[in-house]
Amino acid sequence: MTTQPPIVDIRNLTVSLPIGGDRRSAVEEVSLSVSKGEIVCVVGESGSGKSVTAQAIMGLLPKTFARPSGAIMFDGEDILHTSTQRLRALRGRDIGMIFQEPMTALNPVHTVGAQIDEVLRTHLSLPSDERFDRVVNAMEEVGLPDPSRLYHTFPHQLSGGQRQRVLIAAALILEPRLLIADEPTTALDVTTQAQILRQIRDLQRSRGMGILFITHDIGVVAEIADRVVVMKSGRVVESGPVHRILTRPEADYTRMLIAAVPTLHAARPEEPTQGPLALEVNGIAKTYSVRSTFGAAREVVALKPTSLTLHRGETIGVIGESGSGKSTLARCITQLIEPTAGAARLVGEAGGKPFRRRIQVVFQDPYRSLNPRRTVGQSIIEGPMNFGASKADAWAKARELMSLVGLEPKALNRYPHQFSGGQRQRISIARALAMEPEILVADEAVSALDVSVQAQVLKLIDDVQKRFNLAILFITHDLRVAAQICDRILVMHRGQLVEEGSVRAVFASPSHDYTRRLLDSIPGRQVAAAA
Amino acid sequence: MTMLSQPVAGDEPRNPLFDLAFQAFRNPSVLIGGTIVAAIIIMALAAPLLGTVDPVRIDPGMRLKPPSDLAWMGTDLFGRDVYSRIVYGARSSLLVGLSVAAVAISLGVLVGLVAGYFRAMDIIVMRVMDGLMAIPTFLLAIALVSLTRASIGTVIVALTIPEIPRVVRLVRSVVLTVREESYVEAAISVGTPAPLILVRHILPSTIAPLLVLGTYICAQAILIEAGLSFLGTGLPPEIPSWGNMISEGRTFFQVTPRLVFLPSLFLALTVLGINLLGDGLRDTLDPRIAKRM
Repeated sequence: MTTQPPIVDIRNLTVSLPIGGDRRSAVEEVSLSVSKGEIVCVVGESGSGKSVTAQAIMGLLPKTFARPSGAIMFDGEDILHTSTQRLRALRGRDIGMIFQEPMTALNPVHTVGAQIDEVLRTHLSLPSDERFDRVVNAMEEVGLPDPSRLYHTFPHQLSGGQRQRVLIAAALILEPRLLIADEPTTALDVTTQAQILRQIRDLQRSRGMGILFITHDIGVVAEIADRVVVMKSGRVVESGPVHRILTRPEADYTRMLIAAVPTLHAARPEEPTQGPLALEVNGIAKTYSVRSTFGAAREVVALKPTSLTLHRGETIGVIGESGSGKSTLARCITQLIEPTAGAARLVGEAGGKPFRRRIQVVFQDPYRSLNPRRTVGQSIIEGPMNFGASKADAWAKARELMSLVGLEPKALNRYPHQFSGGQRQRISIARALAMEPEILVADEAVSALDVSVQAQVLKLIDDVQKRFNLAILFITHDLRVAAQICDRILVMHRGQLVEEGSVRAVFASPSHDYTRRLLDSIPGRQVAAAA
Repeated sequence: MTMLSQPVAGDEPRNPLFDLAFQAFRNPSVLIGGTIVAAIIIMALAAPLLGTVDPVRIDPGMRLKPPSDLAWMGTDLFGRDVYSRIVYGARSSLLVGLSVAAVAISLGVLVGLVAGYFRAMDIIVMRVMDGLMAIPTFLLAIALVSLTRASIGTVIVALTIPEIPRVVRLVRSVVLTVREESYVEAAISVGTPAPLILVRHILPSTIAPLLVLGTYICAQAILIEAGLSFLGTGLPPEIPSWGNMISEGRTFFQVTPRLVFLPSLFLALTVLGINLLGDGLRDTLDPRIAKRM
């Protein structure tokens, strides 16, 4: 623990929301500080005010916000009440910032080198060959391979992790004393996240700067933080050294946050009681051919031939990072896209039920999977009415399902924007259940939700599985979530199935190299293991 | 089961479209443009009640009279009442403008939905549209009028054909975006047939941009109709229309400039009103749709 004077000291920061918002202020009476050589994590769920706090330090609050009150002391200077020119001089030179989405933070029409160079051109006057050397050095320092070549590449030619490294290089090139990192690894795959976190940690050690690290993920906190500030609804709930917060949290909210983080312990028994076979997938594969106007077609393999079987009452997790082909697999099985080869066959007595009634999908993004112009009731009854149910019957069924998923049946005539993300995901589940399916495909169904909400929706999926004896194909990038709900897991990598087995077996002794890497990359796994 | 949870925002079911409509009426462009357009429409509909006389009655004894109690905007070369001709002329202009917009949009929506949703149709349909777009409006109108005879129907057909591709392109671009939304995939996966998906889930997203495009098509059609009539290839001379009036007044411009100015003033006012309405709607409904046109 450092006893150095703080680099930044926020005192009683209050940022009022415009009138008509759902609460009076975005952050209220927030006090926190970051000292030289320490990483302070601000952790909280969406709407906790953690990003607003960071924006206030940078002087980047949206214009609709009123002037914040309180004080932000940066090296003894109140930057909340300083001039715009002074703030501009501080930003970049003394305070660096990295953002969540590395693609949108970079300009697509300039080379990445030029964009790092821009920081130098703005703040210093140096000859161009000297600037070039410094940029290349900075790129080397963040672990970008072959920096003098990468200098001349454009953002779209780099991977997500490389783009984030470019942004880190730009933020750190002037050796700021404070780095603000707003969810810098949230958009990245878990293996890339692990590398970036290690990189940030190493740079912080070697330079002794202070970092304010904003995240929603307790696992990341465990990985990187020295001190933790827990925020909820714009207020600081609790703060303290990371070890104390994670092992002996005082506030109920912190306890709830920590408990809601799925652990890696398999939640289900090793030998599940298997129901009858429900789905048989035989060598299903998908190849896209990209054809340019004049020139030969180029083939892109999205999914190599994959086979699996799924039984009633069983959940299979399909795990993989972006581009692994897991979503392609789900969409081929549900006939949302045409597979190039192979087929998925629904097994068991159909009783004349058509394909679409027997297999249903819950999609990832709760903000886009419901038509914003139709009431949620209309969305739920759409399926049954497509197959000849009368409107009265479909409505009665919809009411029943709304209570089943934990929502007030009266809310059926509301529009999607009137519900929270978790509630919308419940509605999507109700819509799928209205078809009385045998198989449910959940495509990243809980990935967009806060951990506490995620836990509730997972429990709901578990409940409806028992109730209707569903076979579930659960697509996710998150091993921790998969451990919670799956009986067996399939690991996919670059369009190929690389490992298959029970949750316990795969986690205890992963046979494929990639699975081992995935397991090693899970943030905060030591904490999860200790819990 | 524990307590059932309530929706987080709002006690009443609120359709997002109503909110938008409410916002639109607070936009000054919409208010001013809408008022002008409404006034012109009322004028056209209530033409017989506004103290007008027969706009085509020729009175050789009243030729080129200045404004007076009998004819308060004066009379033209054939002794016809200018005021009555302007009021009835609004009917021709609006009829042409609204019909062209309505026909172009209905046909364009149909073709655009099909082209955007069924990818196999896309290439063929869009090449045909490129061809249509290459036809110059004036030449087509002149050709059609010389093939058949000048009538309001001919003018509407001639003006509609080159507008259809613009509607198709807009609708297609909306369809291409919306069809990737996961609520459309969700509808597919609950077995909704393609025509219903188009009408229920995709068509509503085209309404706002089409409303805006419709105003532009309408304004442009009114202007081109006036231009055609001025050249003598538009509406037949017996139909009172602003374009015909300007054309006839041209010969005596030095003596009686009002014969050109008065109908021009109304023409400009109408087009301005419609364009203001369109701009205002565009700004409130969705600032981004301007880029797609």
